[in-house]
Amino acid sequence: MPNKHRTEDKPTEVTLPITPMLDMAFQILFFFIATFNPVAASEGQMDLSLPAKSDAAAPDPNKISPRAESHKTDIDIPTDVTISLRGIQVPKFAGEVSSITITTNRPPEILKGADKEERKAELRKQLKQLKASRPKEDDAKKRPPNARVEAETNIRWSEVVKIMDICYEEGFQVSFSKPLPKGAGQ
Amino acid sequence: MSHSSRSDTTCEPNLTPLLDLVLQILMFFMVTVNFAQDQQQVSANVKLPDSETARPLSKAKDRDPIFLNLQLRPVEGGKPEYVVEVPSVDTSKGMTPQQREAARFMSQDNAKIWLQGKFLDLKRDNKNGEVTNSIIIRADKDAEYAEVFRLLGACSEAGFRTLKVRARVIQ
Repeated sequence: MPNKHRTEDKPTEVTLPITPMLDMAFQILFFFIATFNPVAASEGQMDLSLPAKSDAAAPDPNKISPRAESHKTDIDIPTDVTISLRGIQVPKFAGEVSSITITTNRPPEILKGADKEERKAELRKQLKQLKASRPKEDDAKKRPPNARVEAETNIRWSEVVKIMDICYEEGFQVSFSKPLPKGAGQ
Repeated sequence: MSHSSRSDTTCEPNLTPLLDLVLQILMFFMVTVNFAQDQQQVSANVKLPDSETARPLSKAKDRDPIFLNLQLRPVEGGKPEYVVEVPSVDTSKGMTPQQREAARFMSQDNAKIWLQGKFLDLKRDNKNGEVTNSIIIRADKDAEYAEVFRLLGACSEAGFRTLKVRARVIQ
């Protein structure tokens, strides 16, 4: 009789209580969605060499506080090449780079090239040559070559970053120099 | 008769596919989460310039970086004005949270003063009087060179020695 009773029993179903787990999962999910920040994930950083001593000071001597001590400790970074970016003073092309001049120990040279890409390729080539022709003792000192970038006041920052890109790719450190007045090169 | 016998069968939705999906999404967000300390200081209003050589942010973070966001704020019928967003302002003046938030956005001139004050604060607080904090500048891609340089110059003049610029990494 007891034997028979057992066979009549339905097999007990083992169910996993999913509801609390689902609640928990949604909570965590919401937390991660709320903290999700795709902006920060795609960012990168570029190091700068500090502005050279002469440029770190304010252009107007009257503006310099005599008590500021920072200038005394400034280290002037030896510059291997100065890259000057100039634009056309036409509202339509405001902020665009129209000519690149590089100055090394030779006289300033305007880079050849009909458009942006050609000029950039030329800059790349020049920097490569410059790096190859560096005196050996600089390499021994492990000092990376330095490129100083200067631009007209209204050149767009994204254009400057593109030039920085080329410098970094060719192994140059970048420092900035004070802006050139508009239309200085024309 | 047959109705009453059917009534005790419970009807449950099938949760398994839902749970699978939820766990998948959960996994995705967990993997991509970035608990960078700079989350609050990174303004989404700044459109960064693209760069191929910018190093992706590694685990080795800068020590207590100070973020400066250089934004362009459009002005109706005129040139856009430049606004520097600093991480925090002095809170001892009894401002409401809204005022404090608004005070974080300042002009270049005020940013310069803020940087000088910040440098002196850090110098005083550090044991050996050295300031090792790096400054990270997030400048808008449409900002003019002169404005970016002005901000760099202000940092350098205030005494900060490590300057970095942020860009959007493109592969």
